Amino acid sequence: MKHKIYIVHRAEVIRMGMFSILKKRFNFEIIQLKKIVDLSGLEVLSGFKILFFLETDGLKDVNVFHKIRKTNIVRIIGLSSDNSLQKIGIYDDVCPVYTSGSRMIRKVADFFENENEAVIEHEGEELSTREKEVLKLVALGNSNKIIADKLFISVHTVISHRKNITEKLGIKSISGLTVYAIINQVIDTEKINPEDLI
Amino acid sequence: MVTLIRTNYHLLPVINRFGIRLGFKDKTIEEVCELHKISSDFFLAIVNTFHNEDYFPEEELLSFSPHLIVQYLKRTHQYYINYILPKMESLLEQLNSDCSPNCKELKIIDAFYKRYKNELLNHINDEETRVFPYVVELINNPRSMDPNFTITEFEKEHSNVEIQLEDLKNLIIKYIEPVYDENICNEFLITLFRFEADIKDHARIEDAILVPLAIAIEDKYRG
Repeated sequence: MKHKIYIVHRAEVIRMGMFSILKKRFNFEIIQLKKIVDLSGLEVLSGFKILFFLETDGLKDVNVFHKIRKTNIVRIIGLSSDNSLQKIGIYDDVCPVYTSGSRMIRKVADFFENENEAVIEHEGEELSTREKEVLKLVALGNSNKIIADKLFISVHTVISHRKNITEKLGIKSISGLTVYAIINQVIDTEKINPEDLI
Repeated sequence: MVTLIRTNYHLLPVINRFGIRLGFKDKTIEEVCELHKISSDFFLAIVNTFHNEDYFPEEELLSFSPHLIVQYLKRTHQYYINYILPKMESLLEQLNSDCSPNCKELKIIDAFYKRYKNELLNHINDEETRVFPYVVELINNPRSMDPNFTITEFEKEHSNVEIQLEDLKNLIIKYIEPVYDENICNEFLITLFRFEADIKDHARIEDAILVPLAIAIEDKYRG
C-alpha cells in the first residue's frame, strides 16, 4: 500500500519545517499545501494510506475527507496553535505546532509503521503448505472463488493467504507469482507449457 | 545548461524530449530554451520534478498549457518505445544466449517480460488514443465533452504496470539461478531501475497534473 503525507498549513515556515523533519525519517511522498481547497481532486485517490496534518483554523470544506476516507486508510491530525483543541470533528488526533520533531515523527511512525513492520517480519519467510496450494491455484489462473471451493475454505481466507504470499515473496502481480511458482516447481510444468501460463 | 547535465546526467534523455541536443557551449538554460522556442518555466518545472523527488510544483505545473504537458508525455512514450524497450529486449536476448545448459528460468523471465511489455504498450496506446485526445478535446471544447468517459477511470490502471516492473526486478534479484553473464544481467537490472524511476516520474506528472486538470474542467462543465 502506498503512503502519502499531506501537510496543509498557511505558514510556509511550518510546512517547510515539518517537511524537512519528516523527510529525514520517512521515505515516501510528502506534499505541502497552502489551503484545504488545494486538496480538491484528491477524491480520486484509492488504496493509499494517507496522513493529513491540517491547520485547525480555516477548515471549511470537510466533504473531501469523507470521500477520501471511503477508499483509503486515512488519519487526520489537527495542527493547533495552542493546546486547547480536543479531538473533535474530523480529527483523529491533534498535535500542537510547537511540539518537538521527535514527537511528530512518532505520530507519523505510529500510523504507518505497524503495517510496515509486519511486512518486514514476513519477508523471507517460507511459504506454508497451505500457501503453496493457494499459490499453485493462483498460478494456474483460478479465481478466488474457485480456489475457495477447491480447498474448502472461504473466499476471505483465500484473500488473506494471498496477502501473506505476496508479503513473504515480495511479488505482487499474478503473472509474477506464476513465474515464481514455475521456477520453484510449485506447479508441475511437465504437462503444461509454462510460457502459456504467464 | 552544462551545470544541469553535469549535476544529473540522468536528465540527458529528458532534455532530448524537448528537442534539445548536446553541444550547447556555455549557453544558459534560458538561452537554450529560447533557441528551441521552449517555455523555460515549463522546462525547469519538468527538469526539477525529474531531478528531485520532493519537488512537485503542482500549482505551477497546473498553470501550463495541457498541450505542452501532453506533448512532453508523448515524447516520453516515444523514448520508452524506441529506445528503452528495445534496449531491454536486446539485453534479455544476450542473457538468454549466454546462459549455460539450463536456460529454463530465463526463458520464463523472458515470457514475463513480454507480457509486461504488452501491458505497457496497451497502456501507452490507450493513453495516446483515448486519454490524451480526450484531455485536449476537453480543453478545446469543454461543452461538448464525451459523457461516457471520465478521466478518473484511467487513474487505476497505472498501478498494474508499475507492479509488474517491480516484480520483474525482484524475481531476478531474489529468485533466478544466476547461470547468466553477470555483467549483462547487471546492465539489464540497471536499465530496469532507471526505467522504473523514469516511469514513476512520468506517472506522477500524469496523476498529479493531467488528471486534476481534466477533473477541474469536468466538474466545472458537468455541474
